[in-house]
Amino acid sequence: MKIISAYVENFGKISQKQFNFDEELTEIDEKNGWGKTTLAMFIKVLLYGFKDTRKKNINENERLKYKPWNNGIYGGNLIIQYKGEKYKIEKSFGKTLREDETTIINLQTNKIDRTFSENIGEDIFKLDRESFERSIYVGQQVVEVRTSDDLRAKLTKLDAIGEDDMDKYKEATSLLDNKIQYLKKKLKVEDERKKYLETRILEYSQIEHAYNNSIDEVKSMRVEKNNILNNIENIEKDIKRHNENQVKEEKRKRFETLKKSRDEKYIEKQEIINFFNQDELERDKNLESLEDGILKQEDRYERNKILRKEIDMLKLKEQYKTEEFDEIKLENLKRDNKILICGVLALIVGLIFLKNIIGIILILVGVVLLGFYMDMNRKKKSEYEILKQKKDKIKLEIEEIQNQIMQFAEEMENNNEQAYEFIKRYIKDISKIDISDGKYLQELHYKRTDLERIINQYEESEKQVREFEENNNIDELMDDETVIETKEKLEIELQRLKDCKEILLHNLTAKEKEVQIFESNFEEKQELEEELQNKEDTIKEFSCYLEKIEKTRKILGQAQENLSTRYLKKMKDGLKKYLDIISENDDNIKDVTINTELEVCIEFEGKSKELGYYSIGYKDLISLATRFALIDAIFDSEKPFIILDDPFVNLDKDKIENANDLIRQISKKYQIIYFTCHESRNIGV
Amino acid sequence: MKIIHCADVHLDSPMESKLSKEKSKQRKRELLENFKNMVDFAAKNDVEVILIAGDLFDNTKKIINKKTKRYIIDLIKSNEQIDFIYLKGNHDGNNFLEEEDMPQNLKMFNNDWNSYSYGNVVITGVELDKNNKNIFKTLNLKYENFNIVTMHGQIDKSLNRKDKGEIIYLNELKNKNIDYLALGHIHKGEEGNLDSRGIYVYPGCLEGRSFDECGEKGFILLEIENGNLKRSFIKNSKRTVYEIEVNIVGINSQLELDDLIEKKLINIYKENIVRVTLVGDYEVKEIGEGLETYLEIDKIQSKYENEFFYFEVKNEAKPIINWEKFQNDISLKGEFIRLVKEQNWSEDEKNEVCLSRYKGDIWR
Repeated sequence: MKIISAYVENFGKISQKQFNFDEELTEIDEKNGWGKTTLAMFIKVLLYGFKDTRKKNINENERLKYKPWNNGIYGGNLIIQYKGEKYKIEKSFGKTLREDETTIINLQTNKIDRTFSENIGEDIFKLDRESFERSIYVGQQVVEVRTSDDLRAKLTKLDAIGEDDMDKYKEATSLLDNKIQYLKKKLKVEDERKKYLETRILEYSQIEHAYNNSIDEVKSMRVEKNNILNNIENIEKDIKRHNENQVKEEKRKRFETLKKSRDEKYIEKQEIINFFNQDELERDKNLESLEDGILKQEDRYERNKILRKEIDMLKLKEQYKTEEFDEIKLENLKRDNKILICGVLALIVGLIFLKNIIGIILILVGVVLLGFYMDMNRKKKSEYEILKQKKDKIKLEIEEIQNQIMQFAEEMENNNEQAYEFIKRYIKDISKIDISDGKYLQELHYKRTDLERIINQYEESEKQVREFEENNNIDELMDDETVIETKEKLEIELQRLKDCKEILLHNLTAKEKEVQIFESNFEEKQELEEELQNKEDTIKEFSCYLEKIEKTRKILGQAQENLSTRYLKKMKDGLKKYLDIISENDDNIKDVTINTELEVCIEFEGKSKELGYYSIGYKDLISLATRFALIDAIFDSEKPFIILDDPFVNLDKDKIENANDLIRQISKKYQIIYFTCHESRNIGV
Repeated sequence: MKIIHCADVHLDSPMESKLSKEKSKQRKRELLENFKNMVDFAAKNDVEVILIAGDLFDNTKKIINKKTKRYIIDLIKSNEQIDFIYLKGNHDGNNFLEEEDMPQNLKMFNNDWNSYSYGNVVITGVELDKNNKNIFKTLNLKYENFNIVTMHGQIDKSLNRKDKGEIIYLNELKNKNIDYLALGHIHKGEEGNLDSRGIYVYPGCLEGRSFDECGEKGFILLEIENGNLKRSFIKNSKRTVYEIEVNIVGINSQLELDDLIEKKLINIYKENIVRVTLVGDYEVKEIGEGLETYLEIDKIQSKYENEFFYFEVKNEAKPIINWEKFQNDISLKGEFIRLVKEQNWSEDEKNEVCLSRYKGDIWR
């Protein structure tokens, strides 16, 4: 594409000026302030429009910066030749993009051409404003070839396909990068959560280990508890046996006692029975008769006693009576002569003394006494008679008594005999007995009562024994259950076991509670595990996805690199070519390398250094060469124009010469518009 | 006599992992309720025995949730008139037995044959493990009884996947007077003939828990009268899992796809769990113009997300790229595609990368 002419209505300080451009090289040598940069800007703006910005700073807002100093129409036109056709681009600018007007006329047909957009530059060059500035427009600033995405894209020839693709892939790259970042972040978050879950689950798993232990412990404690309970039961059984044995023992003892007692009684009974004549003594029947007999004998004995007593009494009586008898004679014979004497005396006296009272008295007395005496004598006589009668009576009595005594004695004798006979019947050993005194009978009676008693006792005893036998199983009783340990040992053991049981139960309850707590925790654990599973699945999905995207991104980048490398060679060759031109006389520049980022390194005195190390002059020169190489590589079919806005400002004389050579070379291929302000930098054609 | 045959309840098992936590919990609850519904049905219909052929729970190593255990035990206790015959499966473990107050009407099995008789209906079962593989030989059943035999495992006919269960050799169970082989382990439900006398039946699980358990689920009701068996399938699942395939070949717009999907989903009740899988092989003419690149899958997702209890859409349509076409394309695209072809990835991966399936957010 070539620019034929430009007409500036009003743009910055340029007003109503026409410029014509040569096909190859147009040199504009004007003073500073003439408006070179403005013109360059004008051309650019006609092709690309103003940047849409709201900034008020004139260095950042070109629209403001180039607003006409007079207040005329802000705009102008540009006539270009593109693909063999001439077009006129007319633009007028307002305050904003919306107020801008653009008209493109096809000069062949003089019709408005609507195939181009307002920014015809993009349509023609397939570069955006930025890329345009950086490739075609070479300004005064330090030239550095920068790659914008579009440049790279340009490098990769996407214009063959269409802008959609370019968009897609631009979008794709940034989309991919964003996605990758997003996914990585997400994965990180998920991973952290997963780690957290794993830690928690691990905690639970460790607890699970403890839980399993607890379960085992509970199980074994339960078993132990059962064992202990069994043991306790057994021991209690044994103790019970012991006790039973003890009871049995006591019972046995009792039984023995009873039996012994019975036996003793039996012996006693037998003894007593032995005492009696056994044949006669059939217990039931003859005990009564024995009793009767004894009673009879006792009666007899008593009778004998009485008789004896009687006899004794009688004997006494006899004796007494005899004495009495004896006594009476003596008494009776005795007269009381005293009284006679006295009486006589008295009388005498009295008679003596008759005259006297005393004498009278004495006579009286004497009389009395005599009276007495006579009375007495008479009495005595009668008495004597009486007494004699008495005596006789007594004698009779005595005789009677004696008879009685004899009777009694006979009776006694009889009694004794009978008793003796009786006893003889019942008692075996007669020799010992002596029935003269009642003692024996008493003994007999005692013996008999003893016998009865003994018999009763024996029978009682026997009854007890029988009862005992009926109420108890004697075989069982005799058979003790063997218990190995002693009761004391067992009781000690029992206590020990009971203590153990208490402790065990306490521990068991505690453990069971523990287990319960574990189990309630495990619900949570299960939830966590499920979440973990989910997380793992999610992470897997994301990772898969991420992997794919990274692969895609990688491939995309690689594809781009492949392509740019392909073009890189082209650029390098071009660069070499141009640098050769530049450095014809300069031995300093030995070798130049350029990487995919289009950064240039120069080998200087054996060392490879980036451009940044070199002076501005060098930089400018090399950057320019690079720029040209780039343009060569990019613009295959449609060759653009190149605007050089005093690019050699920093070069020394020699270099300028080289630079001019370069420009002349380039202008053969591209239309060059060269601005400068110093003749030293004139190129000439 | 009426008997219910069910299996593979898998109470408390983790649900389809993409359910939210709340929905997951809800599903677990529903599973438990489902079981209760079955028991209620049994109570209402004078069923005497509920036979659970294994995998009532889902924890071999882990601990059974106490609440669940408690709930089940209480449920069994409050239905004393029904005998619960419970055969443990490979997911059951032994934890159930550690409760000390087992209900009277819960009957269990061990690794040798045990029988429970109800008149002339005899239910015999054994829990298979590594050690009692020859147990089939010792089975002795009376001819005149109606014999039900229960086991948990994989019958040897369909050994198509790696199974953790034990193997049941059908051939060894023939001609042993079995009338009904009540099995468990296959969640899908299956049945077939055993021999001239009996049949085998897998009732399938009670409720679908993931996308390999699609369709209606429930239990089998057996009515035995005078030695004759009448069986019916009682649907009991609260939510049904559906996997719908939609073939996108020939579809030219989002609208068309929407219509197609709408048609397929129209009869599905909204309480269910649905996955729509896009399938179809189609040729890719232009890179970046895969059919699905202009089909907005995330829109489909968000459209139906709230229509069902759980909804997901999966894209498994297979594009076929003509690699040769891009050999001479000197653009970045061409370069890119050539490079992708050279990689040793799977076809699917290559397709994905080329067709910019990464574009747009296919993640919910």
